[in-house]
Order: sequence, then C-alpha cells, then structure tokens
Amino acid sequence: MSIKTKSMFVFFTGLAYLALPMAAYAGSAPNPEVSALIERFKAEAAQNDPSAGAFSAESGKKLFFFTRVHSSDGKKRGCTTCHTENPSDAGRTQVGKRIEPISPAVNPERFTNPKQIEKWFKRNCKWVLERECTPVEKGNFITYMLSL
Amino acid sequence: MKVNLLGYITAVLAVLFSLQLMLPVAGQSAMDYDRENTYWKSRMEGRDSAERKFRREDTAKKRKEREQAMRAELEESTYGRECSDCHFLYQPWLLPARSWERLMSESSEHFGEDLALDPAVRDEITAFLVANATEYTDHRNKWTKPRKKGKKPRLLKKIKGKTPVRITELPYIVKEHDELASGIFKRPSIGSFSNCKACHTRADVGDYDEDHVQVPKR
Repeated sequence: MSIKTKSMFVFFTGLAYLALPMAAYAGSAPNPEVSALIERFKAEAAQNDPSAGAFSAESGKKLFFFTRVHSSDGKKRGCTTCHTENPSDAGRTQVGKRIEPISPAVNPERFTNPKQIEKWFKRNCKWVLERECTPVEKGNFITYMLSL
Repeated sequence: MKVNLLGYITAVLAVLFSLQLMLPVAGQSAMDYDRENTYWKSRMEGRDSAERKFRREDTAKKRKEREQAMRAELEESTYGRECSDCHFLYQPWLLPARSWERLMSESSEHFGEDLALDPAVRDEITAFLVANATEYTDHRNKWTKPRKKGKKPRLLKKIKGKTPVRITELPYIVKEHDELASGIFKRPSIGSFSNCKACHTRADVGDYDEDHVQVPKR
C-alpha cells in the first residue's frame, strides 16, 4: 500500500467516524444556549413531578397537531392554524403575512435563540390554549421539532 | 373730459401702488420693508424658502435613498423587529399619538391576541410610535421631517376627538376608499381592508399615492 492510498484510507475512515454520530442523531442538534433551555425545562418539570421522564418527540407532535375551540370566537385553533399541517411548509399569520417554516430541518434559524423560543411559546400558547404552556409541553415540543 | 381721464389713471395707479405695498403682510409694515430694502429679498426667500429649496434640489435618486433610509429605520426599530413577524409595518404617521398610546396600553388584548410584550420593550415601541405619530411628521414626502406648526394633519380630518385604534377607522381613510366596493377587499389576494400593500404597491416605503395603486383582479 502506497503512502498516498494509505493516507486516503485514514482520511475516509476518519470522515466515516465523524459522520457516524451525526447520522445516529437524526435531526438537528441544539446549540449550547438551546440545550441549556431544554435542561431548564427538564429541571422545572422534575420540580413539578419528580417521576417525569425524558421529553418525548411523540407527545410534542401531538401538541403540534392539537386543536381546541377558543372561548372568544368559538373557532378551532391550533399550531397548525398558522404553521400548516406540515412543519416544513411556510405558514400564514392571521392577517396573511408569511411565516417561515417552523421545522429546523428546512429553516436552520429555528430553535437557535432561547429568547425567541420563549417569546413565541408565551404568545402562541395563550392564543391556542388560553394559558401558558407547561415546561413538559415546551420540552416535548422542542424535542419533536429537533427530531424532524 | 381730459381732466377726468388723468384723474382716473392716477387713482388706478395709486390703488395699484398701495396694493403692492400691502403684499408683504408678514406682520411688518411696508415702511419697514422699505427701510431695510428687504422687500424683494423677502419675496424671493419667503417663509417657505427652505421647503422650496428642498424641492428644487430634490432628485429621483435622493428620493429613493431617502425612502430606503426611512424603510431601514422603520424595520430596524424595536417596533419593526417586534411587530413585523405578524403584520405589515404600518408607518407611525398613520395614526395620531393618542391612538398609538391606547393601542399599546391594550397590548394584552391586541385585536384578540395577547402580545405578551416585555414592559420595557412595550414602552420603547410606544415611544417610537408616538414620536413619529401623524401630528409630528410630514408624511407627504418624508415622515421623518417635522410637521409645520399649526398645520392640521389630513389624516385627522373629521376625527372629532375620537381615538380609533384601527387605521381603517380613520374617517379620512374611509372617505378616500369610499368609491371601492366592499367586495374588493374580500378578494383572496387582498383579504381585508387592513392589507395596505395588496393594492398600494409602494406602501412599504410609505407612498400611498394614487399613482401607485394597482388593485389585484382576484
């Protein structure tokens, strides 16, 4: 084996080892700030209910597709009212302005800024559920979005 | 006969002369103008000379630059960053100061939605909107320019002391659109009366001139 082929071999095996954990993750990894936010939700959830397990993408998905009749106008509201049934599609606000896709898989800017995440949880949970979301709900929701 | 004609001409000349003296009425007597020899000067550079000079030297390029700067100022303000996620950035001069104050004080019930704004952020937005409200800005060309004192904003015509929180409830705006059938606003590409830029193609730079209106067919 020549030095050239040997170095190529080392290079490509190295690449494969690098790619392996990324493939196992399937989805996008949160940045340190967002990881800290998820940890905070986890701590808050454990405080409320010590038996609470890890966040579940499945429950997050349920929350995303959940709809509920709002008391003010008697109409069904949910995340999908504005974000559409496909997180990869662009949505529309109530007054018709475009909403960039919510899925971090197609919109890498999503779920990178804790301040934005908290702001929109606060506003949109109130719009849909008429209350703020619990730490468990928020954790599940982020986990679902990051799994896409 | 001859004498009468001469007298007539003299009288006419006298009247014309006195009229001419009365022309500079800006609170000073004709004598003062005469003494300071400022009569023609004052006529050339009247009170609105700055305005005229501005118009004379204004070019399409300068206008465009100004529009872009205005739009950037709007978009980069806290108001722009916080509010543009959901709706069109209505220029602050589209409402009087009292309307903005009311709108922002009701931000937990913003047309049925709780904006959940940080108090500090809310105050910053309110200050920006109020400072650029219709009473304080001349929106015709440049909304950042201070409005001339004593000039009533056209957007406040027939408002009768009311404090509407919707731009579409200003009597002036309603009147300007009264020739349109209400069905027009229901067209899918328009949606509602509040969607300015569906028809006003230059609404984003604050130009609502009729020349730039294009009503979509459907």
